[in-house]
Amino acid sequence: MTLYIVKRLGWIVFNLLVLSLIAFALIKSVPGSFLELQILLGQAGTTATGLTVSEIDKIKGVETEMMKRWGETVPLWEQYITFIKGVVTLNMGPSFRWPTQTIEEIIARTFPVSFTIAILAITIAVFIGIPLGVIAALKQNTWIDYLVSALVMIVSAIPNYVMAVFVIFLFSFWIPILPTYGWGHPKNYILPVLAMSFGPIGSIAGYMRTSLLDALKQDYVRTAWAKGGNERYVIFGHAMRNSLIPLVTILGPMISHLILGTVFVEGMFGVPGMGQYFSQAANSRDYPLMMAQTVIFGLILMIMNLVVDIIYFFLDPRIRVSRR
Amino acid sequence: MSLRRVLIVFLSLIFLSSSFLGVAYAEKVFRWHGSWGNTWDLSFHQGFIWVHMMGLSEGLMKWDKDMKVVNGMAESYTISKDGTVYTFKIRKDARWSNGDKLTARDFEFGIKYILDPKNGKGSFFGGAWYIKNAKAYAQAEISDPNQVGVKAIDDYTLQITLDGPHPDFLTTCTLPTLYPIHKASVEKLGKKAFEAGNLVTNGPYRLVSHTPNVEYVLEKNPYYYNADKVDIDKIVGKLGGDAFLMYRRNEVDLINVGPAQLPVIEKDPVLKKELVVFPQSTVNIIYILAFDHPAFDDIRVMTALQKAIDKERICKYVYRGLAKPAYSWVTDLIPGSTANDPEVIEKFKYDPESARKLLAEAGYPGGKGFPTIHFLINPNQATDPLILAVKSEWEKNLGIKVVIDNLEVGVWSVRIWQLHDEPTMSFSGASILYPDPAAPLTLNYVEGALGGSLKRKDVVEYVKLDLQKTEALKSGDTAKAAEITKKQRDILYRRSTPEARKMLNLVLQAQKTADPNKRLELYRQANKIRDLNMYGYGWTKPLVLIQPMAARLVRSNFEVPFNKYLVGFPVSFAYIKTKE
Amino acid sequence: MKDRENKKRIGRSYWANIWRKFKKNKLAIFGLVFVFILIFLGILAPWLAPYPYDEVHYEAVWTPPNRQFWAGTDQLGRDIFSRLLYSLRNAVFVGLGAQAFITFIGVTVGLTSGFYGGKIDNILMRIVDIIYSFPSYLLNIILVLVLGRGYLSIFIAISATGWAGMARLVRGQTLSVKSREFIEAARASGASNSRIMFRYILPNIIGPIIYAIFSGIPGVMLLESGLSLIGLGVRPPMPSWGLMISEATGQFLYNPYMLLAPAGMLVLTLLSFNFVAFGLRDALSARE
Repeated sequence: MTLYIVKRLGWIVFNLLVLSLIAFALIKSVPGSFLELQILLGQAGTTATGLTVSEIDKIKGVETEMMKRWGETVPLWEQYITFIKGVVTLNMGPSFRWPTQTIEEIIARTFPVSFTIAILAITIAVFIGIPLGVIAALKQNTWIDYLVSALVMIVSAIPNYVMAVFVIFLFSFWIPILPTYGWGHPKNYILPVLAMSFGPIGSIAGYMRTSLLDALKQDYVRTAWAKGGNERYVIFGHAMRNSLIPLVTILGPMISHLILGTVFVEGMFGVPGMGQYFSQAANSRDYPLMMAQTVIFGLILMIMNLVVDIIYFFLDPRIRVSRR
Repeated sequence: MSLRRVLIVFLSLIFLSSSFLGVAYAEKVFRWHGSWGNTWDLSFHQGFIWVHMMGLSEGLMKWDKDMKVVNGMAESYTISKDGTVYTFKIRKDARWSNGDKLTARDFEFGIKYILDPKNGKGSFFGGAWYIKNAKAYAQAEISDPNQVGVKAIDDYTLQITLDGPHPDFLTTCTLPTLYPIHKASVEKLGKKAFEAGNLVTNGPYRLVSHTPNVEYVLEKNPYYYNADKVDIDKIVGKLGGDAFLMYRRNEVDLINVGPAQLPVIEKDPVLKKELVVFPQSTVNIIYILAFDHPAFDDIRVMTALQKAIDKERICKYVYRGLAKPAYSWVTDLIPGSTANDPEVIEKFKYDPESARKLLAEAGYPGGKGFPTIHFLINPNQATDPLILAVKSEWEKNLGIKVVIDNLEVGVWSVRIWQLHDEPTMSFSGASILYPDPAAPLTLNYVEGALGGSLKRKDVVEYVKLDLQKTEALKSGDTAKAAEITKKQRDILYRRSTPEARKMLNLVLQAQKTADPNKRLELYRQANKIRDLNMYGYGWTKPLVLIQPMAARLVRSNFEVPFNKYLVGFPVSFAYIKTKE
Repeated sequence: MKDRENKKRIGRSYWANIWRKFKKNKLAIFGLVFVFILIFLGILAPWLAPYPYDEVHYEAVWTPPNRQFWAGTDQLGRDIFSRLLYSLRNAVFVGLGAQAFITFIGVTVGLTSGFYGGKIDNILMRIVDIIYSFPSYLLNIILVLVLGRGYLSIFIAISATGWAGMARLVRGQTLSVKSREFIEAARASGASNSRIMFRYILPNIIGPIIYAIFSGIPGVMLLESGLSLIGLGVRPPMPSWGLMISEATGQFLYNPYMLLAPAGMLVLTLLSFNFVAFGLRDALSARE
């Protein structure tokens, strides 16, 4: 077992290196540079009174600390090595866009927030989605199945940024009990978590339904059911438990995707999480932050997958026999 | 009366009175919805750093409630006979928000820090450019900050030497380009000195906390010399979420509104009363980029394009009355403006017939043979209805074809500086940050405007030289760069028209004039020449469109004096007070 | 000869079975019908739309639905109904197009990997693993930034990470079919490898592949709308639901239909594909 974990960890490191190389190459090919953009966007309002192209160029010719780390004055491979060294030593330097904060600080501060919201949303989704999936499975192809499945699918087909608007309207306006914006108080968590949880409810309910249906069709269940008597319910309980296990496999990736997917919701509710930072970083060409976030997200994804595989390993004896 | 009774009465009296006292001492909080920039570092002075201006810092001069320039940190000043040396005496009771005394050395440090090219890159230097050698230092032509004309003679005397007499210099001392920075913090903490928790400022408020993308909190600065006149105890700036929604849920007290929200506001009696509309000094313009097509050498083509836009209609429907047509990019809020000059208006007002005639005269009857015009838009402008309105006006009235290229921001920033094959334009807002006629007519601008009559191939040559200059600067060859700058200036002068030269002379003359009325008249004439000939900066001729009004919703128990120049910010947070 | 007959019989009852089970699910049938209607509407959008999608009527901005503008107008006075049709066209194009890319790459890789096994399998699955562990949304954003905003770049961006799931599925399916007798027989009769892969194996695993396609399309559409929400999707003024939604969220309180119309259509479209996938899932799993 430990050998397996070690091997997996090795693969994770390798994958991360590949990921960082690809991300680095891509980010470097994106047109537009940070400096140009900042000046331009600030300047756009003063074109007629402000700088000419020549003055911008002059400023571009001047080196600053930032540009030394990331600019065109240092060869590409050296930039990459600096970056990797930075990640490993957890000293990644300041972000372009937030020059007084280092990247480690930003991530250390924002990651727990996104993570908490994702975990809370998953928890709600699990507690609501599993019972719904069970109901739908037990009443397959009846109107109850259709109703539950349709409702669940409708609600989870609504993207979370639209859901956020509905949820704000509902609980902040129509029934004014919650604040629309802000952070720092437990009640600020409610709306964003709610908005994010509907998507997972759909996936979990759907998966539960399939899983339970499959479990119920197994021979041992059919025999026990046919035989009748008290054993029925015991076996049924087994079937239920067994059907929960495959659910674990989707939870890992789901959490990772939720952490990523909070981008839109964060902006609307004022949640200081990672997602907002990424889209801002992409738009303002904040290379250090983009690189760091890509690698961090990749790392989270891979660790989640590993954790899920380990849990699954312990839950399902069949897997212990055959690996992958 | 038993002892018990006495005790009860006594305690209840205390309880009652303390609740009254509680009411009287309730903290006054003002929340507003605003954007923020990237940092509290003053050297990145653009856009949002004006929050500094409004509450956190104060310069040598400041604006009072009625936008008059009055003494700020400077308790007095003297100006030399020739108007180039200003000597300021700093208030003795000036303190930083951590209690330290504020000295002239902090001013010297701050100004040089902001100019230092190794620090942040601002885009607008304003009055700082007037200081001797400031521009050269900021543009890395010289490297010794001691050559810059700012010196602290002693702890309370600051001497600033300009490169010429600039009567508007005092006004520019109100702007964040000439602010003090707490020297001890920066020397000790470096860049970290500009973070919430470390930030030391000298204005009426101090920064208490800042949660990025969420909000920031300011509190009254107890060491401010006028602290007892500052009414609001705490100011909260919210940085995201839907502003209108938050206002209606009473989560903020001041928001921007646009034409979209007007119908709802008009229907609601409370909101209607809280709406404040005022003119501001921004004008929306189209500016022409660098391309190589002979059509735009002809002033008739440019005039036709201007005359083909029905600005009244756009203001009425697209902006629902929250804008008015503009014919000069200097609004009438600036003295010496020709915004309402009848000759200018007559030349460029909406007249589709005349526009078509002009276009035909220029050789493109009915728009036939006219090249396709491209607009380069970045996502910030993508939802701006003005752009589509202009496109539909031109297509409808002139029969020409217009294509809008919606580019992602980084791509846009690169593309607009390139050489294009077809006529390419972009949009912008232009604002003038303080009410002095010299502001829109800096020498830089005017010299650049000499190129207003450049032929296309001159523009091509000019831009090619620019690209060469970048290469030279990147490899550190400043001598070559200076040589290229000289060549570029020759190109500008090559085709300067008599009008452009007249404009330059008027400005040079105005700069030497002491009589304020004469000075104003000279600037007004220069403005008129510019507006009649559509001179821009270099080749970027502006087509002036409309002047949008600022619309704000302010809760009725607050009194907020607005600043028309910093595009609608309060003049200073210090002047916000609750109505009794 | 006999093998051919056997295969035909297997083929017919396989599909007939699936269809029978699928039919039982009313939602699935409804979904299927709707999918066809939507594709039809999407293709014909330029002819069905009453107004061009970028025609401005600025005397009539923000009007609620009325006789002239069936779904009202937006902040520039553009007809929302026409824009909905064009966004549908857009979404169908992107959804089907990107999914086609994904399917093509994924099926090829999965078949090859599962059929040949050994080293090729190892390498290909390693690559799939690596891709699986990438934060795909971030890479999509970066890819669109690099490639610019056009249909092709969106296809490439979405399929660059999306093919991994399909490849894994196809590989698994290939492995389970590989050892069946008729494959042996085909090999004995001298069929080439690619012939076996595409003529024998593929038709037998097409069921789960179709399910993957149908359940993947909503994901692709959501991805595209997510990209256009942050300004990286299809270029305006060509409308897209994501773009229309982002323009409308601020207005929700005073012009709710601006949000409800594109959100509603998006949900409806996603739902119909989801319903079909729902029915297929049941129909296929019962077979195993």
